[in-house]
Amino acid sequence: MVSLRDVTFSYQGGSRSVLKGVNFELRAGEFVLITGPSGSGKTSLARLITGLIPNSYPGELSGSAVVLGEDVSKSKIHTLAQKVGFVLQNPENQLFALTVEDDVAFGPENLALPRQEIKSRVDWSLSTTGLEDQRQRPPFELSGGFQQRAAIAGVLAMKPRLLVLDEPTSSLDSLAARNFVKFLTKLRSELGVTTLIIEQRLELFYNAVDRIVVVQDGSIAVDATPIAALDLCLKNNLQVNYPLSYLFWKAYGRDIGRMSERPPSEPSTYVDSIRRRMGESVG
Amino acid sequence: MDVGFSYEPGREVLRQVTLDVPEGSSMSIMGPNGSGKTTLIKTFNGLLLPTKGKVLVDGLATTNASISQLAKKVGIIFQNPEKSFFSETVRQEIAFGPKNMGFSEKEVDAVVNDVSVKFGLSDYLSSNPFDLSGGEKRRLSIASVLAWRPEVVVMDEPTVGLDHQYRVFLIDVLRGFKAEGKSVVIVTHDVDFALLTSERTALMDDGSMVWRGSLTDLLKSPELFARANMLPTFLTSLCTELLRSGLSQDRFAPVDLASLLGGK
Amino acid sequence: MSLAFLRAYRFSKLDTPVHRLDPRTKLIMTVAFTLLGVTTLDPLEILVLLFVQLIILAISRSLQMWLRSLRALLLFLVLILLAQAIATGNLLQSAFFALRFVVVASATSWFFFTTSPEDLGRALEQMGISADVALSFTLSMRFIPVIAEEFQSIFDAQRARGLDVGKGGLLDRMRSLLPVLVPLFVGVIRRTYEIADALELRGYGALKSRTRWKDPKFGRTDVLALLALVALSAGLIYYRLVIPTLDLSKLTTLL
Repeated sequence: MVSLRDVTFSYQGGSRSVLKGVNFELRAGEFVLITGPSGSGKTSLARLITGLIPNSYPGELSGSAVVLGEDVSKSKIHTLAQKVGFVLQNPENQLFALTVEDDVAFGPENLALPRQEIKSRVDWSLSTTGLEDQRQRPPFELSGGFQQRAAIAGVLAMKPRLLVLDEPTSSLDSLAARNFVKFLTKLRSELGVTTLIIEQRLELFYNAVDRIVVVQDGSIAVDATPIAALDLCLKNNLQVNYPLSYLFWKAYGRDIGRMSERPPSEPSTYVDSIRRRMGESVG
Repeated sequence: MDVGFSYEPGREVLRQVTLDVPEGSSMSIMGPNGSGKTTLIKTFNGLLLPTKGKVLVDGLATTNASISQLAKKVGIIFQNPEKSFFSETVRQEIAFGPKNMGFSEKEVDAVVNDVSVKFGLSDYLSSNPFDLSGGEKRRLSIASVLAWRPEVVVMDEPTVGLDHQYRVFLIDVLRGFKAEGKSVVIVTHDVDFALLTSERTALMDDGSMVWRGSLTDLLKSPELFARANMLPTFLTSLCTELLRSGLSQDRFAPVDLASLLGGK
Repeated sequence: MSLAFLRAYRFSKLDTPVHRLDPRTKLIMTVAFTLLGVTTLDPLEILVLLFVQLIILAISRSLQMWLRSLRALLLFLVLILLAQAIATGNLLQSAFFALRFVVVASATSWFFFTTSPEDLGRALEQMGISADVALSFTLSMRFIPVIAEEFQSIFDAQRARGLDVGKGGLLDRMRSLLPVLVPLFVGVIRRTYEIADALELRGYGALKSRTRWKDPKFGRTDVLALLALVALSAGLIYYRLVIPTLDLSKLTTLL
């Protein structure tokens, strides 16, 4: 679906390359998470895949960037947008209309679809994202979590084959964030849409994704399945938001003989080992 | 000097909230988005005045003082502070607060230099704030408030949009404040962060304060989370279990993650 | 006072016959009322126009909002009244002058109370105004409250750093607002770039023309409203041309 080979890019007027020799493949149906410190190039990568680079953010681009058969440097944003849905970090700037349903209709309207088709897409999109009860409400009156969904609904109505989300949980509180993960996983299982998500909150997603990609200083430092990726990060001392359940598993898993499985989600598993290490007497 | 305040504001957005922040304490205010946390801290420096009850800063009622007077003692760093940058140089940006507070030119220079060293910005004093990286911008925003040396530092959702590196830096900074004897109030929905940086907490939900006490007590009664529409996390559940197994209390809140992970 | 004035033009979603009218009908009505109002000083005409507007406001359940908006304009009204009274020496005539102002202001007021920017945008598009212009209009309306909120939060942040806007003359006060206006401006510019991107990401501009999934349609009520408007206008124009104006100066000499 996405094939980036040796991509290097620097913004116009920028002194350094934000992407340096990036090689990245995304296959149909995959759920991949991209993470890394701020300024590492994650957002630039997402912008490239959706065509914002180089169309909206001009600069020097070299290497090959092909998304769903289109050469990104030669396509227009609105052409690519019919195949790739991009949900920006700030849903506020992506919600244009005064009711949710009108906003969801905006994309299909732009594609000049027949009225009946637009209506059926709006209905489908709203029910898939669980927003039917909110359809008449102004988008900016919705809570953070629902605003995010409204933005996604608007993008889904374009029926993209690839969905890219830029830090969707950054403005959500813990409860809303967890609900979002459930929502996204359910959405994926229903639609099977290839999903690329940029995130910092690894602990929420690392059990749900197929691969974790760590971007550092413009290049890909790690690209592997979640646990393998985290292991590599630890080994190379990378600055990543290590999930606590993972860290404790690494610290104490051996003590309790649970290294072969996935990290247990039950914190109580570690209590005895921790106490022992702290020099306290055990139960 | 005794820095402490208590109040009971009551308005549509806040209902009968009572809170004490004693001198030198570190406190977190937690709750979901929309629970009134930001409204609450705006009463600390007079940006908002209570419709019922009062807010006292160091014994002075906020209704009897100007915002600048109060801000001198209570420095608030709001969310997305980069949105408020307006100066041409970092130096000017940091100097803004102290200048408003009436510092002399010499004093302003002194504090600017002092605080820029503290926050690693001395190489950037002549740079344009908009040219700084994300992390540097956040450091600038903290420096700009610390420049006039308020006794109380309030941070509104400092962890939003953070990467790991900045989070570690922030925890360090907060420890520094504590060492200096400042009172710290952190508004956050990130329970883990609160666990790592505060000793006492107040839970808010829908404008009311549903509970307040020490974090250790909160850990002992995790059902309290539900009252504020929040969920326990892996770390809080772990700490709850540890406490229940009899681990001594004095090793808690702020939680020392490093020691829990066996020194890693 | 400044922000309260904006509230005088806010759309509120209600289901009344006036709300349901095609925005084009309402636009025609508003223009008609404005023209009729501006071109007369005849107290009877003014009263009739005012009465009709009050009916419209009542049907659309916007009377309370209208009264609130008048409060914001009260200062203007009093000034106009006084200025006219001093100029003409006739208090009653000045009162009607001020009243005419109310009539004209209300004509646009109820239009905005009952027409969502969305519907207006659609109507404009339908009338042939390019989608770009219609979209710019609705986007501006959609983001006004957002910008206002951003102003408030920047203002709060700077006051928390000791900013004092109360001192000095007008020029000083404006200069002291720079720490608020500069970041606001920068933020707005940045936002427009993001919105522009977001528009393209939803396929805006991909094709030469777009479909509107909902089009405002003339209904029976629209026909009735327009007929009533024609009747009213005809009646007023006839009255104007045929019946001599009530001379208020004569009236006051009688009093």
